[in-house]
Amino acid sequence: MVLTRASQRMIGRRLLQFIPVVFAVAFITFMLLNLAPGDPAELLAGEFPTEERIQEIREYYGFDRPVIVQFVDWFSSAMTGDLSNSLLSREPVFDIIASRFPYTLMMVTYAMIIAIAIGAPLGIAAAARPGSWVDSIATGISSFGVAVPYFWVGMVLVAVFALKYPIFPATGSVPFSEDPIGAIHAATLPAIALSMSGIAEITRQLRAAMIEVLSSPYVRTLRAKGLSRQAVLFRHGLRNVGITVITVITLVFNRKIGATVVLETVFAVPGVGSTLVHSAVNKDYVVVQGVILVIALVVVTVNLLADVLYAIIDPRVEAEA
Amino acid sequence: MKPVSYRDPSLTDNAAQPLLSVSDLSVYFRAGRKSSNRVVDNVTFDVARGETVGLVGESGSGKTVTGLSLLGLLPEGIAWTEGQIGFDGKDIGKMSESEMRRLRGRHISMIFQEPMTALDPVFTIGEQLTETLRTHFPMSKREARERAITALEDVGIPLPHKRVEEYPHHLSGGMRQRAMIAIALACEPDLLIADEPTTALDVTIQAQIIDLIMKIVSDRNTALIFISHNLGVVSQVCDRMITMYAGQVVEDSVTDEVLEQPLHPYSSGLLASVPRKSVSSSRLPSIPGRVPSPDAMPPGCRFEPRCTFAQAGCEAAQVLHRRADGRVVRCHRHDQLTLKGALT
Repeated sequence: MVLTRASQRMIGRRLLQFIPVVFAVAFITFMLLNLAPGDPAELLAGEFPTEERIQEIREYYGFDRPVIVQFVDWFSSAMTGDLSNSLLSREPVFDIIASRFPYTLMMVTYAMIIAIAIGAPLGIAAAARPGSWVDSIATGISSFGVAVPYFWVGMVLVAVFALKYPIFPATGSVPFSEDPIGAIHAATLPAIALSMSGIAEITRQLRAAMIEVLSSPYVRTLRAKGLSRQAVLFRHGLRNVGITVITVITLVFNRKIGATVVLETVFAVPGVGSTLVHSAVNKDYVVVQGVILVIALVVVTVNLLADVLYAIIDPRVEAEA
Repeated sequence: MKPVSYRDPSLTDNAAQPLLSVSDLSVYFRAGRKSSNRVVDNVTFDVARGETVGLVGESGSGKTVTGLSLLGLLPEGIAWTEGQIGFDGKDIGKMSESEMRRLRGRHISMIFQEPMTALDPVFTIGEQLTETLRTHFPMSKREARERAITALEDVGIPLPHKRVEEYPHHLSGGMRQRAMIAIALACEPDLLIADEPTTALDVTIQAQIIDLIMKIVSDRNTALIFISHNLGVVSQVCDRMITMYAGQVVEDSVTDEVLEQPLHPYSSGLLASVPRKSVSSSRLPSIPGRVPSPDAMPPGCRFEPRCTFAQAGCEAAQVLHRRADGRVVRCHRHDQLTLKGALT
């Protein structure tokens, strides 16, 4: 399980790809936001501003400069950790994200734990006995999870477990650092809603991958050696579906980060998702850019981590890379 | 390293009794909601300790299915068997799953056709060897590793202490098949079933693998069932040759006798279609037609539609004749025909 030289080289190459990907994401968002209708200067100038006042604000913020210059200016300071200040609150964007991100991370992590804890055993149990009642339940759950929109699940959960039976709060959030149990309690409903599609995806993919492994010729060899069904399933099956597990978890995690944009608004969680929506609506482009850059960084880092895990789990990765 | 006794004291070692005794074995495969096909039909044969027996026939004759049923490895819920499989006096068909598990890899082993896919790609050769040993013997990891290296050495793999750390994709096809053989023979089984072990390999490697299998089984007095469509190879390896056609045994004779004078027209046809360098005729003879599919078996002799000696009486179902000379054949004309062998 030690990384070979070839795997190390592969990881090195992935690290080098990291920079251009982040740069491209930053560049495209910056340009798209510039194309979006509405002038932030007009917004900042307040009601009935004079043309001179708007021009003054443009010059003050540097909006009058060529877009490319604005981008280079913003990106180079972003590299040093300075994401400039919110147009609305004047607060540094970095501080806004730093204070909001823990809520998002907590919710997504919670949802991932639920999705893996339910999806993985369900998928494996279904694959061990295809066509059985366990398999039917697993297939049913995964069809339901894929088909149902998570914000709708969220609203149903609120209606039942917050309004009718007030077990969990309908909205709001508690910082994990101050009150861990309260934080988990408050994040339960959004996390369940967020985990639905993840449960579905993990169950489905793991079931398919495990069935493929169990029908491969080497499983027949293992049985011919006298290994029990359990040893084949848990020892050989799990290591062989490892690649699929990592891929699915990465994919689901990245999608969940995106889904927080809607779900945090539904549950009024002060995370980066709701910040993004709020800033976009108020044309606070500086905050939007900062949040997207940070989300891109998180996604790329998670993907890099997945690549490292591939190299550790599957000895053939080095041969293919 | 303390010696491990590979001899199982529970084995009777009764020389008079055959090691394996298959009688009236039929294998059915589900073909629809209510119907099934009998792909192996009342197969009967014995294998003595240390004996090498060839199971020959075209694709679809039921050789591999017969082999898998001896290990109880037919796909569950899709295939089932009838008849008895006696191994060392015990009926395999009546064994529980855990009893079967103790038999597999320990007393009966099997090697498969595809060395490329028959080994787990994410486990090292060493792991795959030691887990077999540790499944059947109480052994420390260290001890199992030592034995794994010896086992690889025995099958002629160079630098075995290095190879144990390597994964199957590091090895060539021939080396993988050697590793496969090492795994199958790690526990010194009494019976080895080799299912087309050389078909997927280069011709030069084929000869090496066959020599290796022959050497090990004769050194250790392991009984061998060698499944192949290649009569040339089988005649080299096996004392006795069982010819199967469309799920039935059609002939069971000592190899030399078959080569000299086969009793069944199908055996004769197979022999004629083995390429030989002495014959300079322009075309290699072949048997016309194909093996009938299990759902469209001829009611009488199954080979009759393809047989050049077919006549009145052949449309009747054929029984196995046990001749005075000990040979077994499923053809009512076995006394009348003088068929061409490989040597005549």
